[in-house]
Amino acid sequence: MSNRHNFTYFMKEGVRGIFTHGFMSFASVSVITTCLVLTGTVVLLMLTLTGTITDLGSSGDIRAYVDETLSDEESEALENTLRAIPNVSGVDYIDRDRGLADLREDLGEDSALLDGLEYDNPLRNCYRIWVVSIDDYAGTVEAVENTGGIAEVYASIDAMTQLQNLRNILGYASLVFVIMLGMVSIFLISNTIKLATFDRREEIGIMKMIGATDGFIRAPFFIESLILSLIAAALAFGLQWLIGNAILDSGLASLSFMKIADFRDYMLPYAGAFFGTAVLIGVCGSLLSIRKFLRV
Amino acid sequence: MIHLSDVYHSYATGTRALQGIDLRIDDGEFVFLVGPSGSGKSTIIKLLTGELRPTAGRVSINGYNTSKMRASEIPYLRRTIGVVFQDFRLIEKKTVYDNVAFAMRVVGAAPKEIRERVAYVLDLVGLAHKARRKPNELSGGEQQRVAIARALVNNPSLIIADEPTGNLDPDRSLEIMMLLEHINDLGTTVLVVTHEKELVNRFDRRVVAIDGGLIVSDKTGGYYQYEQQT
Repeated sequence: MSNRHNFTYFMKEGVRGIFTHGFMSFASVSVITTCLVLTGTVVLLMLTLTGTITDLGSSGDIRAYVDETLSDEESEALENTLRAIPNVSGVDYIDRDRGLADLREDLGEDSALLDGLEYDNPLRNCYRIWVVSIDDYAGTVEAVENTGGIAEVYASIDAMTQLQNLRNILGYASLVFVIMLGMVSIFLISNTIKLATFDRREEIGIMKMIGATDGFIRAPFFIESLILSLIAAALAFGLQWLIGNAILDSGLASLSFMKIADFRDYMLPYAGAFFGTAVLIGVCGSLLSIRKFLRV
Repeated sequence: MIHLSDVYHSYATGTRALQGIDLRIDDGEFVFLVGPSGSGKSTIIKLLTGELRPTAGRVSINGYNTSKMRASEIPYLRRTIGVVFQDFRLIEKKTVYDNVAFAMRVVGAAPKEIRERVAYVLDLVGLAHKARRKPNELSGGEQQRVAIARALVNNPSLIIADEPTGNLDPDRSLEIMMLLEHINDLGTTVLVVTHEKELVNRFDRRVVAIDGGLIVSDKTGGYYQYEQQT
């Protein structure tokens, strides 16, 4: 019986506490929301930057020239072998005739320079190969070089390595930034919660003196913090949605080389992270903050 | 029942607050604990409420041995004691009714039981008509009555009043003391800590005098008598 009465009491007190401590409730929600949105936005921007770099890397192709001793049929047959190489996302066979036609197109008005070559085409059959990820670009190039029938391979290994390094640096920088922001958030949030609980230290002292157990004292704080944390997480999620859409609608999206991270693709992880973090920080912060007032 | 046996207590600062206290208070007694500031009165109260543990000796109260009890048992010990403080310690945001009812909610009492019991104790202390007031709307004497009602509401076997009249004028002090005497007549053990000689001398009750951490007198008949002896 007493548990049912207590539960009703805890719920009432928890909700009442939000309104009784109006300013501190507002401060707690504001700080948690701001910290979550700041961190979320940084993560979204970093996803955009790393995504763009990965995209740039994937667009850099590998050129593999076929051994001239192979017949056209044998050259074409290499396509399946090349497609089977891990990390290869696409393969395009360019025979010598198409190669010459492409070259004419590239030269435009100067294409007359190539007149006559169609009778003695010096170009070789080749493959353009695209990769899935730049992470194992060098390994993919090596696998192409080791493919029987491939005579020569041209690839921008240095450029890709630099892009890969840049992306890794950005990834680490964002991780450090998020950790720092997280630490600042925890500091701000715990101080806000400490202020809120300090405000109620006398009440806690009285509860202790009349025989309240620590669990009984903590329960309304737990419920109050839980509700405030959920409100903060919901607000942060809504704001992040608006910011995500604003980034998509901004001028950044019109830049063809930019791969804008679409918030809608990350909604579930964001919701999990926001609600999990808010509840963890809010509730643990609150319960830890009242600990010292319970030592009476 | 309270039983302190050869109790010593020293604070972390090195101050020796109690130096071998032996004290027994039986159920139904009304006892004044008197002594000058720094004599060790407050330390005894803290030992009885489980706020402190003795450095040596045994403190037994209402069946609990506070020298050895686990921290999780302290709330249950406190539910057997009603404590009244000099500064009332009421929750300003709650009404008189809620301040008293709160002590019953803490022990998980049913709402119907709370309504009946709170009405009874508020009537007992003469404040039934002010149940909906906030503490800051009451006089000092009335606030102390609320604190007594809160101490009584869970029907404790012992009331400890720590300088209950320290903030009150002589007339209100006498009223509070008479109320405590009435509560004692109803069967509750009452221990009043005070240094108000005149007030103590108006009641023909057991007076335990403490000085320098030692009991220097224990007899029925007033605080003033102890001073004459020394």
